[in-house]
Formats: sequence, structure tokens, C-alpha cells
Amino acid sequence: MSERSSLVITLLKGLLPFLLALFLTMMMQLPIGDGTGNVPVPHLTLMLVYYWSIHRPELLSVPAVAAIGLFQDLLWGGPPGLNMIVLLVARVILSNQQALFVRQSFGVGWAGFVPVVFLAMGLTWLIVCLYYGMLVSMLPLVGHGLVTLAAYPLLGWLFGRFDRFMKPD
Amino acid sequence: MKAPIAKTSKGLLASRAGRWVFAGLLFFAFILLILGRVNHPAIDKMRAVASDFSSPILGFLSRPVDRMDAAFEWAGSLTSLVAENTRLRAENERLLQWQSAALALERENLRLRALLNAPELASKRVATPRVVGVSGGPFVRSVMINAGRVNGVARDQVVVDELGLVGRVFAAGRVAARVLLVTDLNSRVPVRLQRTGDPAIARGRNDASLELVFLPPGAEPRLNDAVVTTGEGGIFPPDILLGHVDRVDGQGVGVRPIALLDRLEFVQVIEPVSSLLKIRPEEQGGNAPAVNTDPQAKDAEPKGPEAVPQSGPRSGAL
Repeated sequence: MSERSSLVITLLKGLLPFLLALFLTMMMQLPIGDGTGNVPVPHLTLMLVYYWSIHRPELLSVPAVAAIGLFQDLLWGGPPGLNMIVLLVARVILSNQQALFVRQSFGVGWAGFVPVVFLAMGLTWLIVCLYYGMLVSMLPLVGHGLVTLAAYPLLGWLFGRFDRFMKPD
Repeated sequence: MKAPIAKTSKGLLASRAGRWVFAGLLFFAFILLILGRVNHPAIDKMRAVASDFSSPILGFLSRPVDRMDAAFEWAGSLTSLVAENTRLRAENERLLQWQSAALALERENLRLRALLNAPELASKRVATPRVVGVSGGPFVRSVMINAGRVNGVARDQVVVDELGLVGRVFAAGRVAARVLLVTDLNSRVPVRLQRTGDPAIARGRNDASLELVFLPPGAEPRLNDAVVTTGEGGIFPPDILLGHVDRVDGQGVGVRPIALLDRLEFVQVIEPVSSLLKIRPEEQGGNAPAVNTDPQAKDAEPKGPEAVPQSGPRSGAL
């Protein structure tokens, strides 16, 4: 393989988590089940940011996380900037706590996701209340958070497979 | 199972550049929140670009999902075919009686309108797009449709399904648009109780039902009362069925929307009522409003978007 083609492949591999995040953002828009969103959809991008912030932070830069959050906000139609802030805060906090999770079992990784989800949902609720100038019900967020936690083992496993595929042998 | 091994890194805020990047992006996000709060057009444009980008992909991805949903529905319906057939026969008989009553009333209505020279607001259908995406957020109730400016779709146009009111367009891209559902927290629809004529505002609550607010003192809503649009406010044409009262208690009055918001597939986009009252260019000389004042003049209307059939969502009277 020539040097140029290996460089292109390396670049593409570096972009893959970002592209995967954009794809997952669109997957969250698919009219699966209850179309109005009464059935909570897992926060796929939060899972992705969590996973890559711990295992391969160099492949998910802060501006990339901001772009993912912004894209999600624009597609969802909610307060613009909401998920941008939530994902950015999660990314920065995780970058400081990364040493706690490295080389730990999958179960520990899952347990570590619990406070991240709580934090993200709490921050979302706070911003939404401030944005609308009223106290909104926390119930939809609880469902959203629980579904996100429940879906993590499957998505975490898929991210792991994806990550191994991207690593140079 | 062990997670993949990663190199540990120092926190992103350890370096000065990292802190500046983080602060700059947070600042940008707060600016976006403020612009969103004041409904700045730049946000609509950004939404439109995002919708245009994702609409073809979502359209492609949603096909197998739709087919799977249809297959599950078909499999589920097999178990209740006989009961369903009996129910439909009875319903068909009842509807035929209603149809003859409705036709007689329609004829009478047209005659009276002609006698009184009362204008009729005939809603114009702009497009019949497919729902390709929904909002996955817990605080948003919106859907994406695969029709945009090239199809004549614009902001504040009204969206209905075969049963009733769905919502309104709040961001129109070139080939896709976003529709705010009536159940969204931001949705406000001027309505009236069809039985009594009492006006109110139907406010979305981000769940399956809406809430009636600003009902006049003395109003006595009852369970199953039909709730229709009033036509006030310049957006929603009058007499579109929104839903039925499903809760009357000390906490307020709830309305369950009639539209199939939980399984929208195809919807109709119609002109807002404000555009129906505008003067057509060819009529500017005579100052005639673009409303159909003559029931017999329907055939003489110019070619273009079709009028929404009266038997569609505007059937709340029956």
C-alpha cells in the first residue's frame, strides 16, 4: 500500500467516530414505534461521546463534539445549543476522569455511565426550564435516561467492535 | 469482558488553548440558545439546512422501518379479522346514514351562504408529503416531512392528516421541512368547543394530550366534546377538528388529539388562513379577497394547489 493511500485511510479512520455520531443522530429521528416521541429514544450520541472520551479521546475532539451536539439540536427542533452544551460538558468532565475508567471491565464502564447520564439529564432539564421560563416535568427525562442506560451494553459492545476495526494492527 | 485499552490523557482544560476552545464553544452555544428563544431567522435557516441534509438519508432509512411496522400491524390484524369485519359492517351502515344527512346539510349550507353572500374559506392544499423523521428529544414534539420550498411549503403552513390537525410548519428547507406538532410545549391553537362555541386556547404539554386554557367563565365542557379551530390568529383555518375533551377536573380540561400523531405516515400541508385572505394579483383592480364567495364558482378557480376536501379533517361537525 502506498504512503498516500495509507494516509487517506488513517484520516478516514480518524473521521469515523464523528461520522458515526452524525449517523446515530439521524437514527434517533427514525419514526420507530410511537412517532411523537412519547416512547423515549436512547441518547445515542451521549453514549458515543462517553465511550470515545474514555477509550479513544484523540479521535473525538471538542469541536467535533460541539458539531455533533449542534447537528442534533437542529434536527430535533428543540432549544438550539442544548445538546451542544450537554455533550461538551460531558466530554470535558470525562477527559478529567478518564484515568478512572481505563483498563476497567465493561461493567465498571457501564456503572461509570450512570452519573454521566444523571448529569446530562439534570443539565438538560435545567437548560430547558430556563429556556422556556417555566418548570417542566422531569418525567420524560427520567424515561429518556433509563432507556439510555439500558441501551448502553449493546451500543458499548458495538462501539468496541467498531473501535477494534479502526485500530491499526 | 475488558474494554479496549486506551492511553490516559490530561484533562482538556489543562492547557490554555483547550480552555479557550471550550469557553468559545460554550459561548457560541449560549448565543444559539438566545437566538432560538427570540425566534431569530438564522436558526430557522440552520434547521432548514440540517433538514435538507438529512431528509434523503432519513427517507431511505425509514422505508425498511415502515415496512416492518406495516408487517407487524398486518400480523396483529390477522388475529381479529372476524370481529373487525363485523365492526366495520356496522360502522359502514351508520356512516351511510350520516353521509346522506351530511349531503343534505351541505346543500342547505351552500344555499344559505349564497343567499347571505357569506365568504367561504377554502383551504388550499400545498403538498402531501411523507413523514421521514421524528424528534427523538424528550422535550420536543416535531416531525420532518420530505417536502420543502421547492414544493411550495413555507413556514406557518398548516399540517393535517386524514382525521384532523397535526401541527404547523416551523422551518422549511429546500426539500424538507419541520412540523411542530400540536402536542409540543410551544404549540398554541385558538379553538372552540363545537357544542357550545366557547373559545379557548389549546396548549401543548409535551405528552399525548393538550390542555384547554383561557376558557370563558361559565363554560361547561363535557367529556367527548369536539374541539375545532376558530380560524383566529391567522394560521389555522377554521373548523379543523383538533380532538375531543378527554378530561374535565379541578386541574383543567384535557383534549386528546384526533390526528394519528403516534403513527403519521403521509400528511397534507395546507395554506394558513392569512394567505387565504390575501388579495390575488389578478384581483387587485377589483379589491376582491381570495376567498370563494360563490359556491358555484369552484370550477372557475385557477389551476394550482387543490382545495382540501371538506370530507377530510374538517369533518368535526358530524
